[in-house]
Amino acid sequence: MVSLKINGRKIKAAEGTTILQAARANDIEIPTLCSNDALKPYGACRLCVVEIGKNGRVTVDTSCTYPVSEGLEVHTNTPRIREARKMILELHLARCPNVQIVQELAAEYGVTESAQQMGKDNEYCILCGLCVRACNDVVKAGAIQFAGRGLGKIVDSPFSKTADDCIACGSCAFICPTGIIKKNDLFSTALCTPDGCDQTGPQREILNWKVEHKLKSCKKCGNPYAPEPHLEKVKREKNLPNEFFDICPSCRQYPVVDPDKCLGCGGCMENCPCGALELEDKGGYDKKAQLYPQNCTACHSCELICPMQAIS
Amino acid sequence: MSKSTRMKPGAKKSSQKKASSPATAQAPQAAAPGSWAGSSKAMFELMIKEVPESLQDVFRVKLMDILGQKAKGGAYQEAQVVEIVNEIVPEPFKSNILKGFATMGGVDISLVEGIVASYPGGQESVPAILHALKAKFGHVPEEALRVVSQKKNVFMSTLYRLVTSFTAFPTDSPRKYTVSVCDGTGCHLKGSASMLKKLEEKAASPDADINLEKVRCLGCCDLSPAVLVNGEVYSGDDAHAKISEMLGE
Amino acid sequence: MKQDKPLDLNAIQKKGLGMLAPTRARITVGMATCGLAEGAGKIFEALKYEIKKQKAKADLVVVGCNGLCYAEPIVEVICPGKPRITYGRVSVERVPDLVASVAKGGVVKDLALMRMDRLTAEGGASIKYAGTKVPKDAAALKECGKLDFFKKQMKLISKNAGTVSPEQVEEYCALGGYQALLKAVTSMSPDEVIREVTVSKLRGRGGAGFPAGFKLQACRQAAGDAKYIVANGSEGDPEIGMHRSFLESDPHAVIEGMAIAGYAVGASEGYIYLNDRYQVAHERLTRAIEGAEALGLIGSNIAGSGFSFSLRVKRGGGAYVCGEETALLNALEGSFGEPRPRPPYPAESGLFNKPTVVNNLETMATFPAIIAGGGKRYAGIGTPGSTGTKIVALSGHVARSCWVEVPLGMEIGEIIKTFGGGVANGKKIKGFQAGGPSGGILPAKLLKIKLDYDRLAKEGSLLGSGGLVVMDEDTDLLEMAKFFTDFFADESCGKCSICREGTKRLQQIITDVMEGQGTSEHIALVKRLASALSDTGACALGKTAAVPFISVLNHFPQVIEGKLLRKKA
Repeated sequence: MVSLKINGRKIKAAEGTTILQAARANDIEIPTLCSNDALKPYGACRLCVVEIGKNGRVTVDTSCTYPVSEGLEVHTNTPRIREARKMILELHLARCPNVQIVQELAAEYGVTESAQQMGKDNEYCILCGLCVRACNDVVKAGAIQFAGRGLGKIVDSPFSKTADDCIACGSCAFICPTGIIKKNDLFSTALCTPDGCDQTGPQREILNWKVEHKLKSCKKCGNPYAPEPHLEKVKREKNLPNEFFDICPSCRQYPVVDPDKCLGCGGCMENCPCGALELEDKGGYDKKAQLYPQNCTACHSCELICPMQAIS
Repeated sequence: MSKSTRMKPGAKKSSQKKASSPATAQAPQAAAPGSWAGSSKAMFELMIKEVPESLQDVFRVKLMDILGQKAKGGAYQEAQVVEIVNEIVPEPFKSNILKGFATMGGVDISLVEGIVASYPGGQESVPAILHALKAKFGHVPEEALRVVSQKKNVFMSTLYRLVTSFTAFPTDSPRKYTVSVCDGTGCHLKGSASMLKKLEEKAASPDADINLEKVRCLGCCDLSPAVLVNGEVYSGDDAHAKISEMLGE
Repeated sequence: MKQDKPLDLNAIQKKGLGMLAPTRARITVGMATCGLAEGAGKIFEALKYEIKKQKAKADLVVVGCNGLCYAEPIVEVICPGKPRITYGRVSVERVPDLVASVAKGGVVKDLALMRMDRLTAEGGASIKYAGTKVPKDAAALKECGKLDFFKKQMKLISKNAGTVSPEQVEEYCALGGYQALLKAVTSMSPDEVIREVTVSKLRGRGGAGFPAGFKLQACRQAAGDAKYIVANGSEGDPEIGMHRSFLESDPHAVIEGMAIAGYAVGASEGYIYLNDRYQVAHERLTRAIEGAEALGLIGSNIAGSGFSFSLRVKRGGGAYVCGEETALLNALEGSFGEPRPRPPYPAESGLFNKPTVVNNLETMATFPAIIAGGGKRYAGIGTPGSTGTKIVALSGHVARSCWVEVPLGMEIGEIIKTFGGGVANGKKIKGFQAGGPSGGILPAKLLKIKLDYDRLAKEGSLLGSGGLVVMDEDTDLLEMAKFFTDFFADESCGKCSICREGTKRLQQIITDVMEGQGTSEHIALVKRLASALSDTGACALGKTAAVPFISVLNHFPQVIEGKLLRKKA
């Protein structure tokens, strides 16, 4: 743990964390546009800049990337910082005047319109890179990336064609703060020609990357629930049989542990490929198995291995 | 044979009922029936050429029919032509045609593989490979990048970003002539901007097969504003005359 | 490899001396990019043909650039026992005369620029070209050491340029090359090497001016199972390519310097990141590395010391931003040209996240001189805050485009006058730029300031890579400010919003002002932009993107004020 000061307050933070993390853990607000807890910091939007005093010198740097260290003196809301943030927001507003999140953040700093002398565009992508980072670093599909540099920079699929590596998981659309990434789930589509109508089943399309993929439907409830290439990836990586994907997560039966039969041997926990089982104190003599359904893929390994048949 | 290294986005068939989106976004083109996607037309022609001349007309009709069935009213796809070759065309024509497909667009895949193999390592070897590809082909073709992506286990999207963010790796086929105008600070002070404008007018004409580029410091400040025409340095007006000569004016 | 064969530097030196001052005549052609652009290649071919035709007893050698770029193509003729004659602006038609002068013994008067009687090299041998009696013809020429152009320089690291063949390592050794490296690895400890560099107070020659000794020390102390030395040869500034000339003339200086740095921090691998357009430099550097390895001067177990060092050249992709050290490291890793957040700094976590020393080529090339002559002596040159010498390239509206090496602290105006011959065409100087686009444009009244890191920083400019661009009275300064701003906008990597969007809006604002549509609001906006850029830019490109326009605003207010629209009440 290191000790540092933020806005005059003494704060303790774990080594290896950033000023932004330390601030947020202590209810100190710092605005961000390109930051996300699930992703490594990038430092694109520059909104999170703070004044950092170290060994008597003051610098301005992004709190999302700056590691905490002993004795730092950080100020998050000085006039100098506010002026910088105002300018950054004005520039964002000049580029993306109709994006809600930009308008809201700018309003917090008293900026309702960008300076007339700046000129104006009508973009919707703020180039925060969240979609790119999610696709490459978390999903690890690598379907999209930035392309070009400087003023011509955009987020694109290779050669602006259909993103072949896209598994249509929709993470990009989910994480995009402006809503420019268009993901549509279509229950059914039909291509009609003079020769007749060709029905295709449920599809997901992500328009920005020119991607269309079939959605797999649940054999039990009939609802489409996930894109096929996404399921392919999960199947490959978790080594699951095809049949596993016939049932959707809602219909899938999750194991139930009978605490009276459970010995607390931990065999289920060791055999669980997804870390969905833990041994916990339930107030009795031994620890008991506890299921965490959010990690569970209902593979039934635990049910098979339990020596007491305590799991069903 | 067509030299198409920059293919248009593959048009996918779709027409659906949904709420219209308010913001601008690139929607996939609804493909017109009977249109040829990518290099499919050139591939089809290559396939027909393999057939003995006297039978070409007959085969053309037959294979178009099969292609039409595969396309199901949408655009003809490259993959569909390949399917026809695999399913219907007998050897030795099949191998010849497939080999021809591999070298279409002027890219011999075996050459690319050779280059990639000579640069061991992971992603850190990619820039050197890109330079070598540019040296070999005059540019970095998309097909070559696919090979690099496979062999070096680097996302195609990463490679696309590398070639579009660094100026050293053009993806378009090179033009016949390259004219580089020095726009370094020294030459700029001596009038390279107006030289560039004059040359832009020349390069804009439809039969001028010129790649006009701005570069920084050719090292000949005495000849400012310096212009490199196909490897030789000229000074300002001399460059202008040389280019006129090149274009046969 | 050569680790078993003992390294006999004396023998190598002797061989090199025999090449530099042979018993036959030696004719050299200056074939760096500046020379080649002026036709030196054709001159070389013509000389080859003519030597054969006239059956002249002469060796024809490719050398680099001696800094007299304005007088290219340059040919030097060295006849045994006679002074070394330098000829300038040689044309193919005059080649037969030059070759004939070998046999005839005379001097081709109208092409001759100067003569050199003696070459003194530090730590190396002195070469006496002429005997005590100088032939009449040659005596009429000015002696090189007496010309202001050379007298006022202090060629500490560029002494070999234009003299040695870049690919003959023996010639480099003859003039003292690799002695410093051998001294370091056989008789000094790494800490002692770092101490010399620290005592020298050498500051990074690429732009930031960070103390080189501190960087070496930080890397030495950092933990890592591998360490790297990386030379920044991206030279992306749009002015004259002096580092290119340096590499094409004396690549071994950089190689030796990098090896010394490797020894100091414990790195056995080095990379030179080279501007992708520098083909000639690439070839010469690659062959120089091979030459040094072949003789065991670098490679494994150098001189039996146990220290091994190998290095490779990697070509860049054509991006100015990759001159920034962390963007450079990303590019070396095959990744995207955009800067990394700092801390951690490269000395701690650099190439492949290992401790790395990233230094400009010129900084690397200075290490041998510091080890050879001692850090204290180096610190005695220049000014207390800016020690040593600096390579400076003069271009723009200067009478003579050239590059020189001067002690820091020399007055900028004097540099322009002495070496550049003042402003071309008898015009008056309006302004000048130091250190590249980030240095902005400074007014003529500041010509009297010294070439010094802190002095230039005080004026809102910077020493940077050492380029000086002269702008005469007819220069449209606003247009130049736009030119530099366009440069930044073109080269911005686009990662951080302030630089990407800020440079775009700067372009629009400057265009408005140039077209007479600017108002005081435009100016107020630029000042706010400049402040935000400087504070929040992720790297030096973004941080200094507004400097060109702001410098014109501050130093030449009439240029802008005169164009602004007056708002009616």
